[in-house]
Amino acid sequence: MTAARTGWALWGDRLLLAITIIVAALWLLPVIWVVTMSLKPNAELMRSTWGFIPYPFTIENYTNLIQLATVPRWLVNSLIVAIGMTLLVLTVSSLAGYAFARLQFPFKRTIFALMIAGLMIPEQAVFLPLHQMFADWGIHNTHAALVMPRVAVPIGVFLMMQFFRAVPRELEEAAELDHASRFTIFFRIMLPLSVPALTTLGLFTFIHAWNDFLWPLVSATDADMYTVTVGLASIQGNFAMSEGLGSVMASAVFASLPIVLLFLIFQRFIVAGVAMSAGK
Amino acid sequence: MAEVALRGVSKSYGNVDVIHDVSLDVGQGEFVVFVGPSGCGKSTLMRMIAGLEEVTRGDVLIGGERVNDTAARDRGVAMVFQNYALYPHMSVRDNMAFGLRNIGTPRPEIDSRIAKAAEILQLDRYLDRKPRAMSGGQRQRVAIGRAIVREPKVFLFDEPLSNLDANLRVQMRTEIARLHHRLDATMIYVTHDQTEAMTMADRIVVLRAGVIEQVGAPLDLYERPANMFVAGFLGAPKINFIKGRVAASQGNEILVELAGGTRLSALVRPGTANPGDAVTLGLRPEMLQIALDGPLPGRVEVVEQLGAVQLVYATLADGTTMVAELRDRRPPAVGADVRFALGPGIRHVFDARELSITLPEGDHQ
Amino acid sequence: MTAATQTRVLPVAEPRTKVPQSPAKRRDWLTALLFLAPFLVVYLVLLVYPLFLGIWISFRDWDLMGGDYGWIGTLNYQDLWSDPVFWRAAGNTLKFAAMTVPSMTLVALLLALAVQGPGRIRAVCRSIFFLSSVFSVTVVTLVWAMVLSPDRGLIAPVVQFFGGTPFNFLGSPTWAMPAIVVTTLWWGVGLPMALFLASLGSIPKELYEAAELDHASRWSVFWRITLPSIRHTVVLVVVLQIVAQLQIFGQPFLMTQGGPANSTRTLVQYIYETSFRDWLVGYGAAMAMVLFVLMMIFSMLQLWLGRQGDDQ
Repeated sequence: MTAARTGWALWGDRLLLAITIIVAALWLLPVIWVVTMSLKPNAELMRSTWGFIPYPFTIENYTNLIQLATVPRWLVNSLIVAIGMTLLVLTVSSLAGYAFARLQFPFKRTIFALMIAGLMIPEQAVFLPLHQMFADWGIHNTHAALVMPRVAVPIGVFLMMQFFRAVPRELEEAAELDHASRFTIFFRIMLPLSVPALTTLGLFTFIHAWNDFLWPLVSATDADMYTVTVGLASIQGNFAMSEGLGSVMASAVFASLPIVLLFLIFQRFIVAGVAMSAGK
Repeated sequence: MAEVALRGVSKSYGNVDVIHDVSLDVGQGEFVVFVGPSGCGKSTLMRMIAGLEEVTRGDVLIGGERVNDTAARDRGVAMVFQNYALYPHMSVRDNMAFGLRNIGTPRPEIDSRIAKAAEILQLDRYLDRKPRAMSGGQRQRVAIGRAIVREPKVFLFDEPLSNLDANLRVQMRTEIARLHHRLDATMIYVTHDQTEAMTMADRIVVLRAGVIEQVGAPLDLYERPANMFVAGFLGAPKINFIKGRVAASQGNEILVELAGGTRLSALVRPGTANPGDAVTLGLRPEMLQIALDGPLPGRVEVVEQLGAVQLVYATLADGTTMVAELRDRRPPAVGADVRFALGPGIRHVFDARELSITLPEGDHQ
Repeated sequence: MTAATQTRVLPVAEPRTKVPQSPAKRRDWLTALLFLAPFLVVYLVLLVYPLFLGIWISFRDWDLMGGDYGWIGTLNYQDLWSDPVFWRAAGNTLKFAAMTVPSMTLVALLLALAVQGPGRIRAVCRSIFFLSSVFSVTVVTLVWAMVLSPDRGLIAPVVQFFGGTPFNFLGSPTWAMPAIVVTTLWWGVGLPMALFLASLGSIPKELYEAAELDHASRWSVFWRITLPSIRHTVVLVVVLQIVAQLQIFGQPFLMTQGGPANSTRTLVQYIYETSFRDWLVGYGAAMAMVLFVLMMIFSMLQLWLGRQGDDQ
């Protein structure tokens, strides 16, 4: 729609844009409001929660939060889990994705079909048996227990396979004639080339891990092992009457900071990833 | 440096033969071009030599050794790909060094080989660039440089110029030819472009549907094509095929009657054509002239003015389109009725099976 | 010099299947195994095995501490059939999906149409609409429970300003579900919007230019060009949303705890409560299987619809 518009059409465009801006502002309003509350004294919030300018202003809610140490502890848990999960998913997915894209092995089609079938197994179908298995192994309330169930994601393998398939075959053939072994080809040629795909998959995995709720809720029962997502839920129950409304809001903001920063830095990869996964 | 030999090589996918019983010897230091229309199997044949495709039957020999079961990387061949296949994340220098590092070549050796290749290909100033920041011609040079530094026994080129624009293609053509003289290496070159084949090859291998049609020096193939396919594939503009019937024969000489009653004489191998046989005449465009008393009447359809020469397309009595390459700045007008005469040159004759029965030139009386 | 006289079947393109040299074949298989092994191990141990274990457990009397009181056949499934809370939860889940999926698809499409195209302002708007989907469910429910709060929320003062009485949405059996739908829209619209944006971006510009030259109105351009071009994405979004929304858990669990009067208790919440509050893991597993089958049917629907589209 690059053609120049004139008259009514131009005004239509402008009106549409204006409406879009207003909707976007309203969309963002709750976030701004929460940040505002987190920067107001609790006493002020008892009087009124209305307003979008943090006045009277205080960072007390945040300093309390850090001194309390539970929320930072959860944050560290979340970071360990999310980073660990991301690295594992990237490793497992890129290795298997490459095998499906470019290696020959017996029963390839069958194994591939089985993997695709795995796409249809939802978390809810396996979280109870997993809980029983992990209880048997005695590994609940560890970081490993929070990470492991999320490593077996066929979608990651599928995305990496799609990416590797798009790499010109001649590149690998050239490398083969250059005396490169399969491993050299993979680590020196294919992996460096797949940095954008890895970034995208990594971002989605990280966000997913960070926001995971059901599994950490049932696996991490020890408050020290909570992730921020579960931890926040535990202090959220009676906030409406809470006198520490500002603190609750501060912990929500605090818990969201890493993920929002990540989003703002890498958003173009997210868009690219959506385009990639939508492209069949 | 080494010679390459194919012994009854075939390649099948299921029941389909892509390459059928190909035998060929490529001498050391020779420049051999595989040429043919797309789908003829020329790339597959080259990839079988490289070790990128498995050989279904027959043997591939490099330097006298059977390499059917040798992995591509151990065959001592280097290949230049149509799309260059440069490693996009590596600099030009690293692209060239990659293969040498993989076999553990000492660093100073790598550096000196790269320096030498860069000098030959005028890449000195670009060694630290990424392929992305280079033009098509430069990338092509890098791809060639990557092959050179390996000092391979055999160079393989898979349509290396088809992604370049016309000017650059001509330039790279001469550069590769020069490189061949300088390195004196065995080179096999695949192309669908007959001009590249004609200009670069020591010998041309013409392929069709997985079978070698003819092998020979460029001019040999041009002057003595074994069949209509080879005659039609080499030469631009394309040779004119005119259907006719043998009206009379005496010794080597036959008289061919064309549609419209025109009779043309031609020389054939003894005993290959009898009166009444259907034959096809092959007349190169450059041997046709326009003359008032010419034997071949036609109507001018299109005139292409190329400056030095003019291509005149005309329709003959039986509807066959014929092209003549003239060196006359004042060609006939479109729609004009003209007569074509035959200048000096070989009058090719093909029998009903499309095989050449032309009398070889040396045997002229 | 053989001349080809017989005609042969010409392969249209030269096939380029990568074929390893026969002696090296076994080594290649070994390499492939090394590449595949990590995935296969986690896949089998942490996805396939648990799935079958889950099916097995659903036929047993099994408690949370691993207490196994034996095979009870389809008793768990029979209990489900006559459990009014299960039917209520299943009904709520379907109702929630029925409300969320169409509105989510529509909002996502409208937003995508509004923010597609060049310019800084649109880019910022795109980011804003996507941003809300990176928050965790706890933060989202915290924010919206606050926004909807009758005494300290954002909506109440506006209602009061216009002379109305603040209303406790989450405390009303009628309005709790729509309130959760709105929350879910705010949270989840980013991904479908991005899918639509990717799809809209891949429509050739020439189509629009041709329509412009044909004096097509904006309305007919949308119906005749835009919508047909993105119909595959519409199907994709709808099915992805159905599958996603059937799994709803966090929002009602955190905002209303399934209340008021069970009006927002969903299947996953009931599975969770049955298993972790009542310890009836066998019963929970049976419910999980029902949900699994339900979701599988919709996933199949996508595959089927995808094929249909390709035939055209």
